[in-house]
Amino acid sequence: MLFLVAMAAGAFVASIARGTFSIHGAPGAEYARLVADGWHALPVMAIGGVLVGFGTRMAGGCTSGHGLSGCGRLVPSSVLATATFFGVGVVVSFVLGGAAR
Amino acid sequence: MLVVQIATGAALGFSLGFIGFGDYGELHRMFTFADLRLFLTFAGAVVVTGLGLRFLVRSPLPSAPVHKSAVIGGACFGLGWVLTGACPGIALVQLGEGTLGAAFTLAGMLAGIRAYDAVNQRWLRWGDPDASCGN
Repeated sequence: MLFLVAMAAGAFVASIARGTFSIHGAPGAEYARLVADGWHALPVMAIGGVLVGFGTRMAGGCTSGHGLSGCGRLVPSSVLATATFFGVGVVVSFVLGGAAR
Repeated sequence: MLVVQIATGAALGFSLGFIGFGDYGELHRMFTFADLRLFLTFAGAVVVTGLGLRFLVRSPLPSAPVHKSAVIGGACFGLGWVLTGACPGIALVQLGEGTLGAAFTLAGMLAGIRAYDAVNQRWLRWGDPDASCGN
């Protein structure tokens, strides 16, 4: 738990150092252009969050567990899971980018 | 161990935030190959983690058989990642950067974890997720 709080605190310091800290709703201006604008961002983020939680729990790991620890040791199911979530990320991002244009 | 937790958590949060993993534009440029910086960062981290686990921790290689849950779960996660701009740790990074909407992402993640546990226990019976994560 402390680890998680420290992560947020570390990111706070980083955003101050970068001069990018500000109180806002969605993660960056590009989010409004590509995914959802204004208050619409909140339900999309909540639904997307459910998919992240459901998917990482089912796959047994996320970008750290499968991506770093698993791929670092070339564990087959981790390489497969990492290829899948990066692959889906690439495809959906191209779709969103095309739709926003 | 408290000091280790705080120091490693802060270092990870600072690095991810400083690189720009919390910003949706950066993530989009990674996924569309417009900017390979985050991809290369990730690849570098995989190598460092692999070497660390191999030579410092000497953790035994997990031998869990490949299960379809890796692909189905990975696909759900990939879609959610693009919709939220956050993989689990990044939601905390975004909160630290002042992205208050990430609280919705975090709440969704916790609900998603509980939902999978319920679905798994009731219908799928694919085993205990805790037993497969990184072991």
